[in-house]
Amino acid sequence: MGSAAGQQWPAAWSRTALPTAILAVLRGGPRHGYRLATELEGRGFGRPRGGSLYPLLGRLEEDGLIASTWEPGQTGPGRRTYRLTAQGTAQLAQERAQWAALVTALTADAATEHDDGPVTTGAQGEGP
Amino acid sequence: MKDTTEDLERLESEVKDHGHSERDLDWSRDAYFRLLLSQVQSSPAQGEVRRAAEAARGSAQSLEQLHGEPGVWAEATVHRWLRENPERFIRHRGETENTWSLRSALWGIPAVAAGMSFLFALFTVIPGWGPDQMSLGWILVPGAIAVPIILLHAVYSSTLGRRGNLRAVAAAVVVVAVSAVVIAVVAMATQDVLLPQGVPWIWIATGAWTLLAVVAWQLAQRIPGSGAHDDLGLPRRVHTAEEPVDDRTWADQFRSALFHRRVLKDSDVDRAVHEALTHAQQSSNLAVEEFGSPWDYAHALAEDPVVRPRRMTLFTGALAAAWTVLFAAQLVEGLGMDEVPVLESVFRAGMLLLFLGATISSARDWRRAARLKTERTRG
Repeated sequence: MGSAAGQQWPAAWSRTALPTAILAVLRGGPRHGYRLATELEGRGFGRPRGGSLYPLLGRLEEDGLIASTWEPGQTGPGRRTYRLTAQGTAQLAQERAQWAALVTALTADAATEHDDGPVTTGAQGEGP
Repeated sequence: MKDTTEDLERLESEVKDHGHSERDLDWSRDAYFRLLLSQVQSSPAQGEVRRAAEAARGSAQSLEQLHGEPGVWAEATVHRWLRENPERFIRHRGETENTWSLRSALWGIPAVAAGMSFLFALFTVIPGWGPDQMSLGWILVPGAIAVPIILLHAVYSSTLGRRGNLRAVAAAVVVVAVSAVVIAVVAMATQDVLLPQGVPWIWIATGAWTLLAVVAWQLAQRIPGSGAHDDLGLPRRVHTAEEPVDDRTWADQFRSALFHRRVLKDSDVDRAVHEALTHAQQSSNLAVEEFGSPWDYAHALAEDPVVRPRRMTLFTGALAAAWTVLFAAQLVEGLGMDEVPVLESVFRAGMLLLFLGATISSARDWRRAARLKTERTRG
């Protein structure tokens, strides 16, 4: 996904794209939960609250797209980091291709077809 | 599983969009969090705070002017709902232990005793199984067995929420050991008190226990609910007005909810709590704000697929071991006897094979789950 400095995507888009966005962030290396949330915020997805983020990470892990490990800490139970698996890398590539195709479909000039006439593009007589 | 943080965002939007002051927004958030910490479901909590805000708008007062302190308002709402709308509280029936209150144990004990007594009565119908002459022990032992059954369940469930599965199992083993001694003492003291023959004592006793259970149940309905315990449900804890809304309360409830779910190892429960608190601290938000209802969040987390089959294997394995001992004891007893009780031997052997089969089946599930988990982690 390209950078989106200062860009805040609409909430509905963010919700739909969040799993892919998580895979994309993890492509850059293992992250713990809070750092993942701040990087998602930096990419315009808003900072997901913990109540949304960790259950989603759990589902991605159940699907085998990411894996988590606990890193021992100096005190207490340590910190859990999440990383992309090989299956996750393949899934990310596939989803990125699908998103690219969607963007292409959205940004192409609309072609309209009427029952009583040929296909027209844009205003009549004008080029694309 | 619903994301309860969305309800908070909806509530904040609504309060802001209707032109309430920052003080009112703080009031709304505090009241909402307090309802969640009293185990109210997030939707009714959000709805009730929203209605409070609407009422304040309608009367051109602030929320505090109309409703008082948010803690007092929330506590009063919780007490009212415990009496009138218990369905607004969290109930995850599928995965939580039912807990016994004094009120429900009042009828639970005679009800279980009636069931045990009925089983004893059936045994007497099978030739060679019942006693030659009925004794007082056969009448009283069902009650002596019912008390530890209820106590075992109550002790396990109450220890589970506070201390985790290992300590809950240890407490349960202690209860079983002590109860076995008590039952043996009662049985030995009463087995020689013979009752006149020709009277269906065991069936009369079954009827008496059943009647006692019905009467006790009727009486129990007349005892006012304390609000601290619900019949056969989660222990209800009302977050009082004096208590702060803090991460410690949220973490205690989250930990209890995870233990009650019984789908994570005890060590992983501690880690999940630590992860949530660390995240909340780094985000400079309260845990209840960042994660919503601790009970809903606990049920949104993925389970460890190995935990359930492992615990089931250990449980059925323990039962198989117990029946092995009982069967072996009978074989040893039978060596010196002229007549071997065939039916009883077959029964014990059957129970042994049943639990052995269950153990093998659970062990296979355990192995499969462990293999899948390893493949998933290897990635």
